[in-house]
Amino acid sequence: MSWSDVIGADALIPLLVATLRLAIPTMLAAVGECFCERSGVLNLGLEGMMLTGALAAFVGGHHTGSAAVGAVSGTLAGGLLAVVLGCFVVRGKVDQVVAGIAVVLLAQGVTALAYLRLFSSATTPPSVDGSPPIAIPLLEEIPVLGPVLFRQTALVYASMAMVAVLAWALFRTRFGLSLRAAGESPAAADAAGIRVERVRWIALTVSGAMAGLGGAVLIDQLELFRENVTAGRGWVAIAIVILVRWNPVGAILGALLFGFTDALQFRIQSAAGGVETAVPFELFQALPYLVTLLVVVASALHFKTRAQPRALGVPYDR
Amino acid sequence: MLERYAGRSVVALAAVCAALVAACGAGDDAGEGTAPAASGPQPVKTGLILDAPKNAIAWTRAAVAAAETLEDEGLIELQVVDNVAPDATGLKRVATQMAEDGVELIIAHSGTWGEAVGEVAQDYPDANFAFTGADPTGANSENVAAITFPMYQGAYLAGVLAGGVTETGVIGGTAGFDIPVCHAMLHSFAQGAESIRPGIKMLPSYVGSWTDQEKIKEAVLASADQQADVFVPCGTDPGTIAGAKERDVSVFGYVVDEAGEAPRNVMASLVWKLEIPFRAVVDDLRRDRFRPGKTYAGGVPEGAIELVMNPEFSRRIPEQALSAFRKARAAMESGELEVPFVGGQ
Repeated sequence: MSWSDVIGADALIPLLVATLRLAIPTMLAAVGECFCERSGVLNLGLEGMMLTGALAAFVGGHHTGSAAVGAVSGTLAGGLLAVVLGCFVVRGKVDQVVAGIAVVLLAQGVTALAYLRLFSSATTPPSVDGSPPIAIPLLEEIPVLGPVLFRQTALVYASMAMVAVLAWALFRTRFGLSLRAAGESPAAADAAGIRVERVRWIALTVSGAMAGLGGAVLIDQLELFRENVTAGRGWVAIAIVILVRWNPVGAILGALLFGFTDALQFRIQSAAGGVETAVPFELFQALPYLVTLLVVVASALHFKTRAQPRALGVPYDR
Repeated sequence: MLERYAGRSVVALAAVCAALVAACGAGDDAGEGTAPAASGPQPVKTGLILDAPKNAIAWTRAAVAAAETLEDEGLIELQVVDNVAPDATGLKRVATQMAEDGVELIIAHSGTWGEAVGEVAQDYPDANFAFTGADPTGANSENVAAITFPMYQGAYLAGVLAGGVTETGVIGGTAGFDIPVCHAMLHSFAQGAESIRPGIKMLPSYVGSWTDQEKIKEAVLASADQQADVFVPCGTDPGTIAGAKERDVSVFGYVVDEAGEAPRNVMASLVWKLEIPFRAVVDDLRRDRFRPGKTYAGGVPEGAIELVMNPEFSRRIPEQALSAFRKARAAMESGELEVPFVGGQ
């Protein structure tokens, strides 16, 4: 097997393009989850929100022929499911782990059933048309990064903008400060006049909407829907948030890491011609999770302060 | 203060009970049970148990279509229970219920139920069982028959076509995991291509998931970047066809005719006509020849695995490839050509 086939000059750009493509859905969910967990709410329903967003995007895109309508539908659906979760965890003060998992199970069942009911009469499985790539003139000429970052679809550009906005909002706006205060010390925040419950509602809904958008981007890339199409990306996003110590910029990089190992895995399998490789491909499948474990252990040993928001998972009773 | 929690506990308890009831109720759809007006021996009361929703995947759709064909012919009276959990408890519960109901032939359609079927069969020696899995794990006994799924035979023929069609000399295949069935399929695909085009390069991809369609598509794109231009899927057809469509390369459909999903790209589909082994089983049952349980081959020589061509694509297949394909198929049907099962490692 020749490594230049995998990461040589010709192969590098397709590899990076694949990395970004694979990373975007998880990235949206991870950054949204950062936002939510920083406010003290553990949104374990992320996988369910991605899946619901994916189905909504598929149905919306299929009926109108517009990817934009699909994206908006997906975002709204994810946000709505987050509101449902919010009724239990923000208002009802129910255990956030249990409620989150229940939401995932609910979404998996409902989306599978809904897809069958809506499309079982079709003889050919239905599909949607993905949005076409739009090259940004001038920027796309930048060596290496140009073709990777600036020849993407409108949805991907919107996603990149969204994660940047959220990352900026968390650390550079007053709302972001209120949000972080609600997650670190809700009693003190309350005393300072911050409406903790309202901030948490907003954070949770935003994370659901971002996850829904992630599902929509996935469908836009795939142009079809199947049961369990998100295949665990929501759970990966939650792990990424812990891995990067609740930092949204870190979440962007973490998602890219997972995307990179996935993209690399297939290129290695292909270049090796499949049967026997020096590095078995199962190792590449396990690699991102191994890295996660190692980084979490290393950061626990190295960093003196805990990064986890102190009030994470604890409902606030005024 | 306790009163506040008491109210919520009652609601929670009610919710849990509702969920349990729903879970028990799920998967028990009553299927069709028409009694045909045909004269002659009574239709065999048959139950078909599926491990996924009946329309969800090609695997289950093929079984339902086959069973319904037999029902239309008046051979069986059919009951379908779908979406049963793929573990032993799910199968046992449903199969036991069917046996108690007097179902004469219980068909367990999944790769994972071999042992469980054997256990239920022991408890109900009067009922008859058939198991359509990958490798029957010693499931054959007095009242259990196995129906094989030798897709690798069809894959060989697909490979012959692929070898004739490929412009780059590189072909690819995808599978969820490196299980013997898929390993054999991809291996035979390469063998078939090699027979018509020596020195062909095969790029198999074991994706690591049966359901992550984006990863499956990514595997196809990665192989296409390495010049592969004909693909065969093993259980990974939606993502593989999506990937082939994006790069405008050729692909085979899996288990059912999938030409409609990508009319330009699907060359042919490896269709599994389960009604052929099903009919053989029912026939033996009616003539009291079912026991001891045999293995019913559902492969190419029996006509159960067939390459259904896509008429829109056929024009683009070189005549040389088509004639090689026909020759190989005839040789397989006559028994002259026996493709080995190479399960790997």
